[in-house]
Amino acid sequence: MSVSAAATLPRLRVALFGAGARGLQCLGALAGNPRLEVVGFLDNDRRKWGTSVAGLPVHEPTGDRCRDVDAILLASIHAKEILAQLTRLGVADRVVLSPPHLQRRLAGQSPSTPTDPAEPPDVQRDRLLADVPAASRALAARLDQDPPPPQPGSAASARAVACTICGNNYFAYATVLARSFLRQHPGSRFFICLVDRRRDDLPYPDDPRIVVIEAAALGVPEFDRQAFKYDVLEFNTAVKPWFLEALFRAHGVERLLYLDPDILVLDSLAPLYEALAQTPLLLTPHLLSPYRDDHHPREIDILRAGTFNLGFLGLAAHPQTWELLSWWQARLTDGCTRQVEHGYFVDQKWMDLAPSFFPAHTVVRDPGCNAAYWNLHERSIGFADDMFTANGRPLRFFHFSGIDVHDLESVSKHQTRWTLPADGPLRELFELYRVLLVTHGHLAWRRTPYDYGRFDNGRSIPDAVRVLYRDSGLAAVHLRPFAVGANSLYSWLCAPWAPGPRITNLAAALRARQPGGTPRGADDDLTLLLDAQSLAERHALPDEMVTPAPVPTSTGAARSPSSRWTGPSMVGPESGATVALVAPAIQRACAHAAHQGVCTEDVRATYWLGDADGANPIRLAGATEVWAPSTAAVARLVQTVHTPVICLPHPVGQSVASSRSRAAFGIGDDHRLLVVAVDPLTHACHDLAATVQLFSAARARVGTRATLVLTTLDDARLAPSVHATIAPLTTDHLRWLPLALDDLLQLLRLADGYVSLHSGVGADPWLAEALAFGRPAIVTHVGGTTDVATPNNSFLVPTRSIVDTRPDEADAVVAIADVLGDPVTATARGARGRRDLQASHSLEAIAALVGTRLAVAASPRLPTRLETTCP
Amino acid sequence: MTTRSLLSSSAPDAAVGAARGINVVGYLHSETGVGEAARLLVRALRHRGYAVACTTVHSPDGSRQLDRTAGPITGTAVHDTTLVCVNASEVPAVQRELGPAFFAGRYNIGVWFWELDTFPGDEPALHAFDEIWCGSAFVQRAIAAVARVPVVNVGVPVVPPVDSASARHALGLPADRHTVLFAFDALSVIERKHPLGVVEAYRRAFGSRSARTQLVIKASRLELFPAEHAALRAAVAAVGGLLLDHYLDRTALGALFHACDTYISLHRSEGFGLTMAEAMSIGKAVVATGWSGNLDFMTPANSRLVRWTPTILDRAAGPYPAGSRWADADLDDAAAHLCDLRHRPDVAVSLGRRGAAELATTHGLAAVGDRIASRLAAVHRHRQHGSHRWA
Repeated sequence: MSVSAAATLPRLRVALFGAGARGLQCLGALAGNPRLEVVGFLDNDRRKWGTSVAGLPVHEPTGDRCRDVDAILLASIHAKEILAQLTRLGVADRVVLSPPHLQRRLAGQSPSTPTDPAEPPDVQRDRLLADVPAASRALAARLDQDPPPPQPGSAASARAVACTICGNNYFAYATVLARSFLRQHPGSRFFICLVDRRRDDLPYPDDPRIVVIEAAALGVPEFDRQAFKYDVLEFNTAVKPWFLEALFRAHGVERLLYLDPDILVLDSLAPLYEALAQTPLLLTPHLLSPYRDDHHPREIDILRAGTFNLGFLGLAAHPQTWELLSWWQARLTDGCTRQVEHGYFVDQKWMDLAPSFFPAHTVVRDPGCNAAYWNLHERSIGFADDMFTANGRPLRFFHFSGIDVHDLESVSKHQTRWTLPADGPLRELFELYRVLLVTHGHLAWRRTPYDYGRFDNGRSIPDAVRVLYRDSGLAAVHLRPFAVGANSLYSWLCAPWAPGPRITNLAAALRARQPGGTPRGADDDLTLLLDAQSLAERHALPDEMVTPAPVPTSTGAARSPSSRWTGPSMVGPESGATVALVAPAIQRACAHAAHQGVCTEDVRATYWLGDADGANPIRLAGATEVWAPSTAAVARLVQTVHTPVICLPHPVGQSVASSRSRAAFGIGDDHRLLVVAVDPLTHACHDLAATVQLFSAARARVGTRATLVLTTLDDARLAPSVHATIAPLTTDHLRWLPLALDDLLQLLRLADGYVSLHSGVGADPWLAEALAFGRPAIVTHVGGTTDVATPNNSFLVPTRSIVDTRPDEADAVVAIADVLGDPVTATARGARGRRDLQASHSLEAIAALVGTRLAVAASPRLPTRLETTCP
Repeated sequence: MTTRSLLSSSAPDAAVGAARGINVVGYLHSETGVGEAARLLVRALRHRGYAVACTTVHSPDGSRQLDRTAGPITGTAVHDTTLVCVNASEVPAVQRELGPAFFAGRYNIGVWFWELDTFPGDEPALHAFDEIWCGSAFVQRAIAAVARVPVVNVGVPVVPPVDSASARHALGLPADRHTVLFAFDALSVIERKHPLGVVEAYRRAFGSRSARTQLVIKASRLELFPAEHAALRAAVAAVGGLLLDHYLDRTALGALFHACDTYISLHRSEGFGLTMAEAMSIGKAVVATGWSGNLDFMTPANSRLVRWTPTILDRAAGPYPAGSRWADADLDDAAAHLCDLRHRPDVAVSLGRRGAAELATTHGLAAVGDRIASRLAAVHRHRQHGSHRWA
């Protein structure tokens, strides 16, 4: 952006909160920005009021003073307290957290700017051409003559064609390729699939043999969604099978060569068309021989990207080709990403399977076909008799993958093996190609923005948004993802996320996707904001997609419906698992459901965590529905509560930050380890002394080394009663081990079994976690644990009777002894438990339940009440 | 009214219910599970002291209409609360038959059965009622997930079948053999009831030529499904079993249940599982898939729960769409339970005793009547103190 453009924009008045060292540091970071006016400092130290620092005044942070600036940059180690202070003053919308955050906010106010350097294309072109050796320019001039007109009677060659795919920004490449092809095959046609919109103001070629077809016209199912979920490279490759099919079906093509746009045809491709008469599928491998060094790419990189380079593909009209295209279309509908770590690499990796699936194929081993940086180690480029050669044979086409016209020396941005030699045939080839590209307007074409890279309001689509759209279920909800305005994906992304402070749904969603990024009850506003800012930097997000615009307090109409839905309010005990484990997990499921876009403000849910006091109608007042953790809890509530009561257990399987070993917990590897989690919620239903005695009896019966650990999150509340209970029983195989949440989960993960010999708890959240870790459980079959502990995955202990719901002691000893003495059966049940819980208690499963409730609330009422007139 | 108040004066909670009446709509003459469930509710309500005004509607399935145990039919709605004991899909037909005025101004409660762990959220009848009742926690959970109104599990009342020596004699069952029984209605979807699984489990337990055991499968309306009928007949014959595929009246059915030693159901899913409950109620040891509605009354302490693996329907079966979740019972586990019960009659007897006692406690007429009364009292309180429409 030029200075003059900046000068036309309003300057942002900024105050720095904190007149200390950090304030001065920030002042330095902002210096020289013409769009900022730093008006002074704010500070809570009254001794500094009225003084000046670095020539700027220091003021008391009053509301008026704060409202007098556009932005307040936090420049103090007490950011959290200051944020709270500014929130109380009602000026939290002005807070920026760091100089980069301020820069992004400035960028958000600028009109969208081209990313190119300021130099105009024609100046660049002249400069680049001036450096080209005269010999290359002469060669280029000769090669760039218009292709000769078709010979009469060339109908057959018109059915043997070539094609490529590109966006407007690559159109110079496609033009150069098309002309180079037609020079060799003047009677043929060249098709260009334009993955962009065709624009009236751009100089598309006027040769009738070059046919431009817009991707949107190919009939790709759900085109908008596909265009949104894939980035430019992914989408350009994802449309390939649809494009090729259209050429066969609608344009009378019989033999077809696909060439990437950055390919230059230098000799006749007739041998390839002849090969297509024999087999309907031609593929070029990246490599015909091994690499002998460790530069990039290595063979492993080639394996990851795919054996064959799909910059070239030969197909003939043939039943096998219809089969191949149909298979490829199906795979690329969802599997055309660049997630190499997951085994994907756009359209190319799939083709590794083609030789096995489609027996009629030819692997082209001609060194003159698809020569490129990745196989220069085995292909010597020469120049003889006015012809480029590869290993002495005609160089039919060269693939300039990753070329940078401003830096030919690098050969390709994807490799480290070669530097372009100062002279020689390879240098001449690259110089030639540069001249051709530049002559055909590459420097202007490349500035054309990608139509599917922007929302309808022109804002660019960050890659992280595409991934979120693709992977989080948003694609199922937003069928027109480019749209802006009410209820659009864009408005949802930028809307404030509830219940957090001023971060957007996008920031919250991205945060939730990070390991350990689940919003927790303990997260304060500042943590959320700082996380959001670091996400913004990592994903290059514009500020409006991270920090939502302040909402006018007079009306909520500007907010998207989702932003008001805050998940359930929690009713239950003040400590223990329910707060530390369950409440955040439920909120996580709610956030996940909201991220799916199924949102409404009509749900005022109350989550009933407690066992004893929850049904108190006062505590449930105002709820439109009540959620409870188990069917037993539901059964208890449903008799008296006058709203729908929904069974909604907490999602299990959250990531565990602790990696403590058994030894770190003080437990030997040679001991069978059983764990009892004690919680205020369930404590009254647990006879711990009986559990310890039953364990001792079982241990004696089996004769194995075994330890029983009683653990809790809530030592303060439980220790006195637990100690009183178990003190007389303490032996060397019994431990009382209060832990923090992550360590407790880790202990469950390390255990050989989980014990819950209760007499009717409403729910045991630890049991679900233990089962999800694949730990077999020994559980009384009564109350809220019957939802998860089944004969398949647990060792169920019957109650003494239907009235006396304590565990039957003899059966309990047998069950514990089974787990201690029969690790094979125990492990099998545990594995089943993991599968069961993954199916029923995953984040997705529970979020789907939440989503169903939101959808029910948002759905229209049907006029089917019994007393209405019959239809 | 006075008499009832006096009678119930020793039980204050009962007074709330006894003072009130209720309308019950259902297939009250129909000899089907849904008809029987409605009649059982009528019995439980009367047992609890409610005045019940019965209205019977036309059953859509062409079943026999000879059951008169529900008592006199009023045919009009005289009380302010109405139970409509037909499944969701039949609600429009009932609405057409009775007309809107029958329901206007009343608190209308749908009583539904369902057999899967998910309920279709687009069912229009979800919007028809003020409240929905169902017979198990399994169904409560499925319907509540998609309903706007309270969904209450009141249970299904279970009345122990009566034995009859003459009817038992007429059945002609060998008295000296250990008898394993399964009874089902083919209209309730054969794949779900899984009778071939029962035959196979029996074969694995006792072989094909056991002279000391007897498999009996009682099937209703199997003639409507000739292919399945033939397959089941052949399978049962192959293990020397007995397929009773003709009509049996209530007395004969009761005698059949009494004549068996073990009752087995390897269902893939049940909304409640009335035949299992009835067998338990007369002290029979029951072996059944440990999944779905039967877990409301079956526990490892009172019956034999068979392990299972989840399966997904790869095609629609009856009203159940492809993609629904079912349980496939582990036939070896079932066979092991059958064997164990055969060889340890003392265990079978104590299991049966406990089952009968617990079932009476949780699903006897009095138990279900109490739950209904408690819920209706809560509804009554709520209607007095607030709108009965939950916005």
